[in-house]
Amino acid sequence: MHRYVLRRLLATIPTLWLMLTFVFFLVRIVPGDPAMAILGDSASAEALERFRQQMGLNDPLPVQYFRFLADIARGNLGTSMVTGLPVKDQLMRALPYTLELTGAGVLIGVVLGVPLGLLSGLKQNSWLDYLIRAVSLAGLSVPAFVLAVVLMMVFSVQLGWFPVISSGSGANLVEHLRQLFLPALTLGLIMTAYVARVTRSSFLNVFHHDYIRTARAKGVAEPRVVVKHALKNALIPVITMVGLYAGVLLGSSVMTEIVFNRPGLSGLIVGAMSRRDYTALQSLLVVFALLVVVINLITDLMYGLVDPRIRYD
Amino acid sequence: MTEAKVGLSPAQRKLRVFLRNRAAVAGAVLVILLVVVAVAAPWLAPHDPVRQSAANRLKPPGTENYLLGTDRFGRDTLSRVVWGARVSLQVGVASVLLGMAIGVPAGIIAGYKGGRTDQVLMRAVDVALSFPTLVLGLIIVALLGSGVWKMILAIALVNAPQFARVARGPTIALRDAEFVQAARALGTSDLRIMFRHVLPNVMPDIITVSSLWVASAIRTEANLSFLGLGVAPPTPSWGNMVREGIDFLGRAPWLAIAPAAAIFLTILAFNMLGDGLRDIADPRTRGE
Repeated sequence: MHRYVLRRLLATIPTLWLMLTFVFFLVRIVPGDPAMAILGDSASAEALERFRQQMGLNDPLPVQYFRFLADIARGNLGTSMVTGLPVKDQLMRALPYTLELTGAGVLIGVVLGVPLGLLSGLKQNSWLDYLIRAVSLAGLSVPAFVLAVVLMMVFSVQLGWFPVISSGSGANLVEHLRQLFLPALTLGLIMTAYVARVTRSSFLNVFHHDYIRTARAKGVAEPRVVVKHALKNALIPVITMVGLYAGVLLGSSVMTEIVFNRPGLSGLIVGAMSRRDYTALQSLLVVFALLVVVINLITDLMYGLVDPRIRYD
Repeated sequence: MTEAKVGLSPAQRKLRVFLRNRAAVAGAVLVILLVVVAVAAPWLAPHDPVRQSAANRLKPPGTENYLLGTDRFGRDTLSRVVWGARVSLQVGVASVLLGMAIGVPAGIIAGYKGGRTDQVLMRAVDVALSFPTLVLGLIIVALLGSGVWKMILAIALVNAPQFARVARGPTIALRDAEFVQAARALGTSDLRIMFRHVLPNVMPDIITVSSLWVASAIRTEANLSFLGLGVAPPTPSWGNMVREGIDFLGRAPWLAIAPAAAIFLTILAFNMLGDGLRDIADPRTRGE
C-alpha cells in the first residue's frame, strides 16, 4: 500500500511538470502590462521600470521559468504583485472555505444520489424511475449559479430561513452550518443528479451478472443481494465519476461562492484576474492542478476499499 | 422483430426509435422553437432590448405592454430574453463547430499516427482537461478580451481537447480496417486516408454527441457572462441579465428568474435531444 502510494506520487511528477509549464506560459501570454495594470496609467516610466525590475519581469523568459519551477518545488508560491502579501497566506485563508463547500456538496450528492439511483434501477421503467431520471436530467442541465439564485430567492429572500450573504463562518456550529447550507445544497443537488444517473446505469449493468443469480439461488435475502452484492460492485463507476468531475465541481464551487458572496478561492481568482496579478494567478492555477492530482490519487485508493480484488502492490 | 418493421429502411428505423423517445422529441421541438426565436428576435421582441425608459422602471410582469416587466433602466425583460437567445445559440453552435474543426483533426492524427505523436498529443489533452473548464475559459477570455466572437474562440479552445479524445477512439479502430489497408496498398497518402476515409467514419460519433456539447458550451457562455467576462452590457445575454437581477431578488425577482429559466430550458432541451440521438446511435445505452 505504502509502496503503491509512493509509486503513484512519483508518477504524478511528469504530469505536474507539464501542468506547471502550461500554467506558466498561459499566464505569460495574457496581454497587458502587469506593471501598468498595477501602478496605473499615470505611473512614471521610472516607476514602471523599477517595478518590473523588482518583480523580475525584465528577466528572459527561461530565467523566469526556472525561477518559477524552483519556487514551486520549495513550496514557495511567491508574493502577490498587488498586495505584496505572500500568496500562500491568502490561499491558506481561502482554501478551507472552498474545500468545506466542495466536500459538503459531494457528501450531499452521494447521500442523496446513491439511494435515488438505486431506487431508479430497482424499479426500472416504473413511474418512479421516470421521475428520478427526469429530475436527474434537470439537475445536469442547471448551471450552479442559476440553481444558487433560485435557492437563494426561495429560502433567503422569500422565506428568510437562511442568510442572503454567506460569511462562511458562524459563532457556533449551528450558525456555521446555516451559513454553509444553501451553497452546499446548490452543489449537492447538482452532484446528486450526476451520482443518481451513474449509480442507476452501473447498478443495472451489475444486476444481470451471474454472481447475482448465484447469490439468489443459494437463498440470500433480496435486500442483502441488492446492497452487499450488487451495490458494492456498482459503486466503482460512481467513485470514478466523482473523481472525474472534481474539476467541474471546483468550478461550480467558485460560481456558487460568487452568488452567495462566500469567501473562498473565487474571490482570489476573480480578483487576480481583474488586477492582472500574475504571481497570484499563477499560484492559484498551480493549486488547482495540485488539487486535481490529489483527488485523482484519492479516487484510485478508494477503489481498493470498495473492491478487494484491486491490490496495490 | 414484428412484421410491420421488416420493410423499414435503416433510416426509417432510426427515426422510429427517435420518435418513440418522448423526451428527445420534446427536446427537438424546444430546440427548433429556440432557433425560431433567435432568428426572428427583431420581429418577436415587442421592444428595443437596450432602449431605456425612466418612466417605466422596475414594472412588474403583466404590466401593460411589458409581459415580463422591466429592469431598473426601464428596459423590457421579455425583449431582452428574446434577444439573449441569439447570443446563447450563436455562441453554443459556433463554438462547437470551431472546437470540432480544431479537435477532430488533432484526434484523428493522434489515433492514426499512433506512437510518439499520439502520446504527445494525448498527454497535452490530459493536461488541458485536468483544469476546470471554467478556470481555463476565464483565462482565455482574459487573454482574448470580451465580445461574442472572442468568447466563441475561448469556448472552442477549451472544448477542443474533448473533441480530440472522442475522434481518437474510433480512428484507432479504423486504422487497421480493411478498406484503410486497401487505400494504403493503393499508395494513397496518409493525409488523404485520414480525411477521405477515416474522417467520414468518425463523424457520426462526433455528430451524435454534438448536441450535448452545444448544451455545455451554452452553459460555459452563461457562466462567463454571469462573471461579467462574456458579452458586454448593454447587449443582453442571459448570464449578464441574471447577474444584474441578483441585486433585485427581493423587489423584482423576475429580472433574474426569467433569464435563469431561459438558460435552464435551453440547456435541458439540448441535453434531451442529445440523449435521444445517442440512443439511436448506441442501442445499448437506451433507457440508461
